[in-house]
Amino acid sequence: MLYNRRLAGFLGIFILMLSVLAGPYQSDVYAVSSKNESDKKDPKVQPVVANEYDRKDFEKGYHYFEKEDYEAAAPYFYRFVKNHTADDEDYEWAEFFLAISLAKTGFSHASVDILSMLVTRKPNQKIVTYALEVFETIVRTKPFDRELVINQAICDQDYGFVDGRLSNFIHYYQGVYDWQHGFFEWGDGHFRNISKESYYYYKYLYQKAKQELHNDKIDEAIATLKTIMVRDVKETDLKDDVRKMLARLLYEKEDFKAANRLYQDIEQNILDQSQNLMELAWVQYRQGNPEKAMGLLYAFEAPSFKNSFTPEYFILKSFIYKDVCHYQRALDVVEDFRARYGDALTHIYNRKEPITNEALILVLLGKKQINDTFKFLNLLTREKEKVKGIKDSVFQFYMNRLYDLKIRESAETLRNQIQESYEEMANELLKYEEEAYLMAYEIGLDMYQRVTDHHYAGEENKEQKSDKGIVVYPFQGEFWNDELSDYHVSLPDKCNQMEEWDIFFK
Amino acid sequence: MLKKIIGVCLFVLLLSEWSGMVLAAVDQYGYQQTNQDEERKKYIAKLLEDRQKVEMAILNTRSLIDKSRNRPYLPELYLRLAELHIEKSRIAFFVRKNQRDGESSSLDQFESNTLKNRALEIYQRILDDFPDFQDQDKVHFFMAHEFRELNKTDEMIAHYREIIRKYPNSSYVPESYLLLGDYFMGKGDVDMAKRHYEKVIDYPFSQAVVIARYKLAWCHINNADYKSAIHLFEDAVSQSENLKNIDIDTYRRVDVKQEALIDMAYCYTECYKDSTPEEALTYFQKYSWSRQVYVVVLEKLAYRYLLKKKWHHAALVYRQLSILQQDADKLLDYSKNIFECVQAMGKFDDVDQDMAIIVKALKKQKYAADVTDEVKAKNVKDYELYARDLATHLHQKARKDKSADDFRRAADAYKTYLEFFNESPVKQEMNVNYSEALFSSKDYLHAGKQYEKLALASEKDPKNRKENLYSSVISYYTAIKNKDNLDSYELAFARGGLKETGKSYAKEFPTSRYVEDVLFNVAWISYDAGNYDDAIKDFSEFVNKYPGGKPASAAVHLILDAYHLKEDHEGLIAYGRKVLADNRIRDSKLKQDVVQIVKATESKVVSNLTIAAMDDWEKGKSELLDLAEDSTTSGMGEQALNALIISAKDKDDLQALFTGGNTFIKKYPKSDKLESTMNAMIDSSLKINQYRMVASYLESFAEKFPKNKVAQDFLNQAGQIRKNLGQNELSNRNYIRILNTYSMNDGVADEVVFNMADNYIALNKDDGAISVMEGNLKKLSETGKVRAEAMIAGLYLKKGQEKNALKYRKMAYSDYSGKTAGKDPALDEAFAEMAFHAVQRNYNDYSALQLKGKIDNTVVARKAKLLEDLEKGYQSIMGYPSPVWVLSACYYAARINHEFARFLIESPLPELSADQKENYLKIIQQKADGYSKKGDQYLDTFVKQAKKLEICDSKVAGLVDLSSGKVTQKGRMQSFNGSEERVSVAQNSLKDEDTKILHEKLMKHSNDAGLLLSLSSAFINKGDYRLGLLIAQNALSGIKTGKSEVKADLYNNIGVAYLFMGQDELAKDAFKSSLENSGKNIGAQVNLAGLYSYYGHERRAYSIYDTLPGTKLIEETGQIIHPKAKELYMAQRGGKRK
Repeated sequence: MLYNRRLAGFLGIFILMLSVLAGPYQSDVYAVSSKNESDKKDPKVQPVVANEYDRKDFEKGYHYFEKEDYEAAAPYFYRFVKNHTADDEDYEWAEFFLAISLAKTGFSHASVDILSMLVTRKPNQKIVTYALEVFETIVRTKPFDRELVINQAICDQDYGFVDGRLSNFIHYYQGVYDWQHGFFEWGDGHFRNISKESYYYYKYLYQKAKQELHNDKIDEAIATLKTIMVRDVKETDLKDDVRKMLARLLYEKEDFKAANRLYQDIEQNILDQSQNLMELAWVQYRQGNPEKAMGLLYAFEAPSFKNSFTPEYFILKSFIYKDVCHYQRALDVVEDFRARYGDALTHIYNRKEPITNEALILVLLGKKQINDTFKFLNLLTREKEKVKGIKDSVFQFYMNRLYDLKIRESAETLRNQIQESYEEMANELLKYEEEAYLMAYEIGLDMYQRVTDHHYAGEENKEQKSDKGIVVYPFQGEFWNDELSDYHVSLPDKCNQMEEWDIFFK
Repeated sequence: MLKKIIGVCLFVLLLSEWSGMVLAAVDQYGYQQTNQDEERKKYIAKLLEDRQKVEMAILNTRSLIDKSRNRPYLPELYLRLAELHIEKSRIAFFVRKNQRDGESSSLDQFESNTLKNRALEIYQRILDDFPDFQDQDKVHFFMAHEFRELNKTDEMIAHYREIIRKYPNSSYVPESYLLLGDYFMGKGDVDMAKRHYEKVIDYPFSQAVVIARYKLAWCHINNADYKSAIHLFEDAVSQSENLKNIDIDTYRRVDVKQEALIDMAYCYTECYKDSTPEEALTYFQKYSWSRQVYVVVLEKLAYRYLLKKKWHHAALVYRQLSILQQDADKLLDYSKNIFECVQAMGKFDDVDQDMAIIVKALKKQKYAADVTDEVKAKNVKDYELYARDLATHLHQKARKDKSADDFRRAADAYKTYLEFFNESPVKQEMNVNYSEALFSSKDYLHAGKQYEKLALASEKDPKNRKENLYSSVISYYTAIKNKDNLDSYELAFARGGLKETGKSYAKEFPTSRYVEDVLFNVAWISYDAGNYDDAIKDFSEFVNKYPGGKPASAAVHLILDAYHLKEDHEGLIAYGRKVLADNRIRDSKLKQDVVQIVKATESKVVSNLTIAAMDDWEKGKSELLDLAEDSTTSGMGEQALNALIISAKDKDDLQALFTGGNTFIKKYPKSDKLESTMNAMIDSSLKINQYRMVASYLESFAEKFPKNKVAQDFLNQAGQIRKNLGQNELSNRNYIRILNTYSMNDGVADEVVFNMADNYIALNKDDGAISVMEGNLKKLSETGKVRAEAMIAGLYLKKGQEKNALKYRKMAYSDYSGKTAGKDPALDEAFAEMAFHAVQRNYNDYSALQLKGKIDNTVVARKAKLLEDLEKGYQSIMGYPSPVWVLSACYYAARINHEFARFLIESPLPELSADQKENYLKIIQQKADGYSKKGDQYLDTFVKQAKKLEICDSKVAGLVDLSSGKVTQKGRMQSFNGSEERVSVAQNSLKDEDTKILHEKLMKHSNDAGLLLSLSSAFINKGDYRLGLLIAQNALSGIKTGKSEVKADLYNNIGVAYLFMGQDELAKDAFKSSLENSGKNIGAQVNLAGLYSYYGHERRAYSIYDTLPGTKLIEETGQIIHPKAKELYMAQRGGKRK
């Protein structure tokens, strides 16, 4: 079931990708109309003279707003805002209520768009505070426009009056922004203001560890990450990020046992953990447990991991087989690599558009940055679909325009990100291809070496028994979801055993 | 006063909040729904209500004052009363203001001012009536404030000065100075203001100090003393950390710290005129406490620089701001200012950054819903011009300076431009510029991409398309040439690009002079990428199209290399041959190279097969043979055969070795490996003791390499082997070649000539023997010459040519001397033979000379003379060291004496009386007895000598019965064997299972006497006695010293072989040698005993037979026994048994 669902999901994604990457975004892909709504003329373009005292729209809007009929309220607030200026009374409130109404009716981006503009004009503190609360919630729960929310609304402004949880939120992002721009003292200042037991403090510590790592202070980074680990952090995502980073550092320090434990502790859905699995397999391999490592690698044969970019899988698998002198299998793995990525490589060599490289595109969508953009684009698409339900033509026009523009921007961003990452990934794949060739060569060398050794070492053909017997968990559909950590296969050491092909050398 | 003000404000705030609560409920978001008219009315009502309350309070306070005369707190009540009037004054002002709906009137102020004056009067009363009131300084301070509100500045100044003068320790003093300073500042009296502000500094604990510093700084600015000013601002920024909420009249809402920081920007441009913009940024970053503040001050700073036309500084600060700011409008402003700066400077070093800033700003606007399309379009239009101008200027500069860095920046700028202004009216031109900038900046990969894009866009413009395609090709090519600068993806892309654009170019513009180069590079790219199949295909097409030029030579080399890298040796060889056969390719050096490469590859193919054959010989051998057969031209077939021969030799596969070798010799007579191949075959056939093959290869070698220094020797050896094998005709062919071709070396002439002569004699061609000896007489050695002369003489005699015989005999006699006699057994033998025949030529005359019925003294005398001569002659022969001729001489000496005895006895009687007759007969008998006796003595000598010499020569052994000492009737007897049987096994021995194994073993152990013995025995058993003999002789020559069973066996084999060949004397010697090595050699014993028995040496025979074991052991012995010897043994055994 899971397989089918995910496959269907990927197919949908792929179709969407095709439309997005094929060129400038066209909304007819979503069956809205043959022309972007924003390209139409504004149905109410006649100039409206703002009347300071013409508060009917506001009052009507507020009337519905109070009744929690946000769908009815929004068009009125929009009209009020459209026909008034920021100097008019309740203008900011109207914008604010419009944003809230939009948020309540499922237009999170439109809401964020309005709020982000509103807060930069420094309205009253209540509005700002509530807007920031909306931001904080959205940032933690939904795809959002990072540029708009984080860079523009949060980091461009000074929110000295905000306190409590929101203050932590603001200081965290402003601190990160300052660090990113090289303003470490100001960043430190922000981080100092985050309360010690808050979620954002741990997020700060995580950033700090990254910074330490960047400065090649690995021990300090490990200490920082351990500090987070001993705290009662409730947020799984953050905790998993910390575990993963710490595991990698400990792996580098060759503390495989601890690294292994941390990888095992990661709570993220196993289907999203292809990279972790890969790293865990490396840990097991380095720990001298090739059978466990191989067990983990079996997971990648699951359809769910079809779109994980794991050429490393083939390399490691080949390594393991080679180590225990299963040369033919090792060579088969190299062949498997060619079979798996042959089409992708052909696309690359033939300089085809990234979009046609299905194998890589699907994998690219799994990359965090691209995935974030993609998810946001999806959100925009869904929300734009809802715009059709807006009855007020003026308001609908505005909403269409808002979403069309943002979808165009996001699509362009996604295109650029994909293009950039595609080149990186293609380069990586080509390097792996080289490694595969090298591996095949080395296997060949090993084979010859072993034959030579064998002939000089005497004729005792001993098959070293695996201490684990044969496959402990036979392949039964998607068993790996729960049993991965225990899954291992038998890999009898054949280094002292002549296989059939060796006859040739005898 | 401050407290008062605060109190009023709080009061008002409370009022408003309270009123709000009354007016509307606050929703969950804190919004209060209001009606402005209602609100205002309610507000006025509230103010009126407040006024009533204040009036009530005034009444109450007055009442209290009245009741409190002389009370110590009375001045405080007055002070309270004055404050209430001030409150009332404010309420009155707001009531008036709100009742008039915003429009102000001078009357509005009247009531308010009246009430203020009432308050001032009350304050004055306090001062007048209560001089000891401890808060008089406060009263003055409040009065000064109210006078300022009433615009009565003199009074205000007076009161502030009174505070300063009368109450120097009052906390109001610094504020008084500050406010006086503000007053003078307002009047433009900077000095006075400055003096007052400076006084404030003397009160470091006052909040006013921070403001005074700030104000003082401005005084310095007014005096153009920017250094002092900026220091004060710096202090104000640094030391105002804890003074965020300053409680000083008029300064309450002022953020002095931020103001000071912002004003520092003003001073900085004046104060640090020489500082760089980077230093300025560092400076302000240091004083800023947040990024937001930093942005604010940088905006001020940038603007100051802009105003002061410090373009470089301004531009840099604006660039920094552009990084920090996200607001589209601001970014557009910055961009505009930057453009202004850049234009003014005429420097375009940072155009790439500036372009990015413009696009960043426009992009933000482009997707903003709140900006109208008209505004967007206008901005795009305006800024496109800026952007275009910037990029093209930088490009021009780059061209002028030929600066790769500038080109790179220009390229970056164009890239940014084109990404955003994709509907630019000059898009095409900018694309061209972009391409050129990329190429000039040495970013060849992207230049290639860009030119390719341009080519695609110019499909309908052939001229441009041609240029763009070619530029793309060049760009990609150059990129690949510097592949270290490319990552794997870029390299793959560049290769693909070059291939595609190159092919398009060649296809669309086939007449272009560049097509040749382009096609070459298209092919090269496949080679470079390791796509050798494509490379071969493309290069082959190239060579086919342009066979003449240098590139073709390179292409051919690359094709061959591609085949080599593919390890497609067959392909390489085939292509190489194709090139060699292509007359259009005239590069002789290339062709020489190709020949070498093909040859080397052929060697490699063969080597590979040879190596493979080492592991799997049968398969490898078959492949080598297939290759040899399939190769239509010489090279590889020749090498394959050669490898086969070498491998076969290594693998001891004689069949393959000789089959391959023979094929090789036949098929590749001109091969440079022929000599080594033939040597190998000679060596191998020698190793396996196959002398027929040895002779054959020696002959072939000499034929192929007549000038080789060993050729003569080889022919000589071949002749010798052939002779030994009884192949006299073949043997002589070799000798004839030696005689015809070479000037024979020392010692060789004797061997050649006599072997030839022997061969001719064996072939019954005495003329040939005579001819060769006569013809080469001068070439012979001293002994050889005599021997030849003797032989010639003998042969002529044999032919009946007495004259010639005599001539040579004389020469022989003349030359045979002490110098030569006994030096050479062959010579002695020949000389003895010659001498014998010379004597013997009268024997028949002597025998035929008979009396015919009557006594004829002439006959008798002649016969007696012949007898004498013959006997004399035979006796002389008996002195030669040649047993056969000595025995023959004895034999014939006996015969002539017996003949003469018979001649006497049988002679007719003369006519005599009986007595005479009796006496005559008696005398004749006596005479005859004497001759008979003499004859018998000769026979006895014969027998004694024959027995002594154990003569087993059929030529003489049959003459006399050694047992009886009587002359036999049969005369010459047959040899032991009867007649010689000749069988030639030759190369069949390589197929014969028995001999094949032995041959193979001998390949490895050619000196193994045991193996040689077995092989010798095998051949003898198969009837090839001569070969068996040769092998046995060879084996013995390899065993240097000592006795052994093997030697004994080998000698036995030799003996048996000789028996079969009719050489019984030699056989005897061999058997004796065998028994010398091992007296227990049964074979030799049986054979020798048989031979003795056959030739009548019975005693010797029985002495051996007596020691022999029973028949069973004889049957089982591994040694060869001649059938006749066995027969004699069995007969002897049978007799014994009987």
